[in-house]
Amino acid sequence: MTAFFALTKQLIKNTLIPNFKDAKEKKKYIGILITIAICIGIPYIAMLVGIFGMVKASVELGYIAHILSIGFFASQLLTFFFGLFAYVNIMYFSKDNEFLFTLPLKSVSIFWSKFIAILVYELIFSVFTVIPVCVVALIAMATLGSFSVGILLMMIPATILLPLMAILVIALLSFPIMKILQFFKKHPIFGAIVAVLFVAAIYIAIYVPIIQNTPDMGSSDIASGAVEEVSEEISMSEVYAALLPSVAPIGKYFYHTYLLAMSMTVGGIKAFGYGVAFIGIVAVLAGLGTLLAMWQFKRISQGVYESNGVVASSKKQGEVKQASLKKALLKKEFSSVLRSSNLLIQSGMMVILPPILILLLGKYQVKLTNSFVALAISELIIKLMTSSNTISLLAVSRDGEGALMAKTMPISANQIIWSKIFSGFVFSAITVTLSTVALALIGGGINVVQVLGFFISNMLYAWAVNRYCVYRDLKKPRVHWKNIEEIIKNNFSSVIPMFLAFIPGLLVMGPTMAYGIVLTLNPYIIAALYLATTLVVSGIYYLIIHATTKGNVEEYWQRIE
Amino acid sequence: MSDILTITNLSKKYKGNDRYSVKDLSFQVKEGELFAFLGPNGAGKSTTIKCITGALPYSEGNVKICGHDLHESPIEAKKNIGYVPDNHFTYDTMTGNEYINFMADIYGVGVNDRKTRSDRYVELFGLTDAIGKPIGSYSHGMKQKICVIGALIHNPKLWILDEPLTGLDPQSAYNLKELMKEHCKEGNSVLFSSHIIEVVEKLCDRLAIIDKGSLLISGSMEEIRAKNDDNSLEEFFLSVTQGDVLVGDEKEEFKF
Repeated sequence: MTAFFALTKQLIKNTLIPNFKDAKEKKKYIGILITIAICIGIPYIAMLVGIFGMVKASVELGYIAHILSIGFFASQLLTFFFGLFAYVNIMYFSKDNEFLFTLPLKSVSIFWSKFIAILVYELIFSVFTVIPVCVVALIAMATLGSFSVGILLMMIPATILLPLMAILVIALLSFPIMKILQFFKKHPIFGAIVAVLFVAAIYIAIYVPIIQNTPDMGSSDIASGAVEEVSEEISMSEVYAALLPSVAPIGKYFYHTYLLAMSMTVGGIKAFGYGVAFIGIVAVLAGLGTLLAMWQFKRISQGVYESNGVVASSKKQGEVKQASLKKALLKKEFSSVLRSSNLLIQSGMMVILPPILILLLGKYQVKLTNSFVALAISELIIKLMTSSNTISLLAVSRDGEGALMAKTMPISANQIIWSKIFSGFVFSAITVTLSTVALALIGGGINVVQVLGFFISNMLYAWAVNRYCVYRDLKKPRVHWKNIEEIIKNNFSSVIPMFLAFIPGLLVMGPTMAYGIVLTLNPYIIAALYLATTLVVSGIYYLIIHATTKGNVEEYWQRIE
Repeated sequence: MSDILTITNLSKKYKGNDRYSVKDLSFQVKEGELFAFLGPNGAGKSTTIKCITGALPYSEGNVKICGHDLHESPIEAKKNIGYVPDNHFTYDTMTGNEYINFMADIYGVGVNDRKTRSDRYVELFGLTDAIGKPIGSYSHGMKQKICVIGALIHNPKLWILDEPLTGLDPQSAYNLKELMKEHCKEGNSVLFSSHIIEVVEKLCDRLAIIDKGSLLISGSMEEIRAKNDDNSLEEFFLSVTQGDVLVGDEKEEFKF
C-alpha cells in the first residue's frame, strides 16, 4: 500500500468512526444512530412523497430545472454549514498534524489525504439529499412520459461534485479565517469575533440575493388564500400551479446548480453543453481552492500548534487579588473558554448564527407567508442552536485531567457544576438576546407580544438545556486528552441534545404556524396564544430537566476517573 | 565515522514570541553513537527535536540527516528518522497491529521485514495480548511502547526519542535502553532527550546540555568530566544550568 493511500484510508476511518471507549459505548452509539435514522427517515420519506406532486407539477409547467437547482443549492448550503467546522478542524486544528509533518510525506499528500477524508464525510449528506431529489425527479418525469437520461447520467457526478464545490469554497474561505485567527493570536477573543463576523458576512452574502429575488406574496394573500383554498377544496396541483411561477424562478439565480439541472433535463447536445459548463466551473474552483489551500496548508497548520497558548501578556501581571469561590470558579470557566480559539469560534458561531438565520429566514418567510410562520421557524432555530452549546456539552470534558485535580480540592461538586451551567448559559443568553433583536428587526407584522414571548420562554429554555448538557457530560466525561482540539473535534455529544430539542421546538413551532395560517383573529390575540404555548412548553421542559437532573452531582463527580 | 545528524546554527523563535526558544545551536550525531540531549524543563530540548523531525519550521540554520538537508529534500531526510514524540501520538481508533502496519506503509517497509520486526518488538515489550485492541484502550506506557515499535519498523538510521523513559515500567525501561544500545551497535544512531541525569550518564556516548535555548556544552562523558574536575554529571549539570550556583564568569567558561 502506498504511503498516500495508507494515510488517506486512515484519515477516512478517523473521520467517520468515533473513538469509542468500549464495546458497550459503541453499541449504544449504533443504537442511537438507528433510532435517529428511523425517527428522521420516516418523515423524510414522507416529505419526499409530498414533494413528488410539486416536482411533477414543475415538470408539467416547465420548472423542473429551477426546482432541481433549488434542491441542489439547498444541499450545498447544508454541506457548507456542517462542512465549515469539519474542514477547519480536520485540516488545521487536528492534533495529528504535528505527527504527520514528521513522516516522509509531502505536505501536499497530507493535504489531499485530509481533503479526501472531508469529502467522503460530506458525501454522506450529499447521498441523502441529492440522490433522493434526482430519483423523485426521474420518477416524476417518467410518469409524464419524458424519461430523462440526463438525470440518470449526472446523478452520481452531481452527488460528488456538489459537495466538492461547497468544500472548495470552504477551502478558499478557511484561508482568511485562519489568517484572521493567527493575526489576532495574542487576542483570541477579538480574533474569534472577527472570524465569526466574517463567516456571518458570508451567510448574509448567500442569503441576501435569495431574499431579494423572492416574490413578495404578502401575509394577507396567503392567510386569506389558505382559508379560501380550504373552503373551495382546491387540489394541490392547482396550488403548485399558482405558486411555482412565483417561487421556482429563484432557482435560475443559482447559476452553477441551474447549469447542472439543465444538463439533466434539457436533453441532446444542449445538455452536454450545460454539463461541460458546470464541470468547468467546478474545475476552475478546484484549481483556485486547492492551489491556495495547498500552498498555505503546512504554514497555517504549523502556525496553529506553534501558537498554542500564546496570549497577550497581561499588564496586571503579578497583581494579587482575592476573589470569592463563586467568582474564582466562574473566572476559571470563562478563561478556559476564551483562551481556546477553536472553542471560542464554535461558541461565537453559536451566538452569531441564530440571529442571522432568524433575520434572513424570517424576512424570507414574512415575504412568502406571514410573521407567525417566521416566528415558528425562529423558535425551532433557537432551540436547536442553544442545544448545541459546546461550552456546556463539554463542560467537564474540556477540563481534561484538571477535573481529576479539582476532585482533590475542598469544593463541593455542586458549586463547580453550577459555575459550568452558568458560564454555558451566559453564551446562550447572548444568543437569545441577539436572536430576539433579530426577530424584532424582521418587520412584516412582528409585534411586541411575539418578541417578549420569544425572549422570556427561550431564556428559560436556555437555562434548562445548558443544565441538561452539563449533566450529560458530567455523567460520562472524557478527561484524558492532550490537546483540547482533540476533544472538540471528536465531540459527538451534541447529537442527543439537538435531537431532543426537536420536541420542544416542534411543540412550539407547529401550533404557532397553525395559529398564523388558520386563525383570522387580531394579531395580538394570536400572539397571546403563541405566548401561552411557548411559555407552557419551555416551563414544562424546565421542570422536567430540573426534576431529572436533581441530586447525584457529588456521586457523578466522584465517579470521574 | 560519518555524521548522521548535523545541526548548524539552528535558531527557532515561536510565532508571537520575542525571544528565541533555540538560539544558534550546532552539534553532530555520528554513526553508531548514542547521543543524549540534556537540559532542564523548558530548555528547548523538545523544540530542537521538533525542528529536526520537521514538526516545527525553523528559519535560521541547517539540519542535515544522513547528508540530506531537511529544507531542500525533506522526504529523503525524514525517511532516515524514526521518531518517538513526548506526547506519544497515535491514532486511538487503530489497533496496535493496524498502527504498526500503517507506519510500515508510510515508510514503504516490505511484508517480511515488517512481520519480523513487529513480532520481535511486540514480544519484547509484552504487547502480544494487547496488539489487536484499539490503542485508545492502552495505558500511558503501552502507548509509549507502540510508538517505539512504529518508529523502529523501518529500522531508521537515526532514532529520535523525546523523553522516552517517562511512564515506562522498570522492565520496559530496561528493554528500551537495551534496544537503544543495540540500535547503535548495528551502525545506526540514537538521539534522545532527557532531564534524568543518571540515565544519561549510564547510557550515552556523547551528550549536549542546553539551557534557555543555547548549547552550554557538548562532548563525550570523559571530555565533560575532564572539564569539570572529574565531578559527577549531576553537579556539573546543576552548576551550568543554575545561574545562582556559579557566578557569571565561571559559567561563561563552559560555553562554546
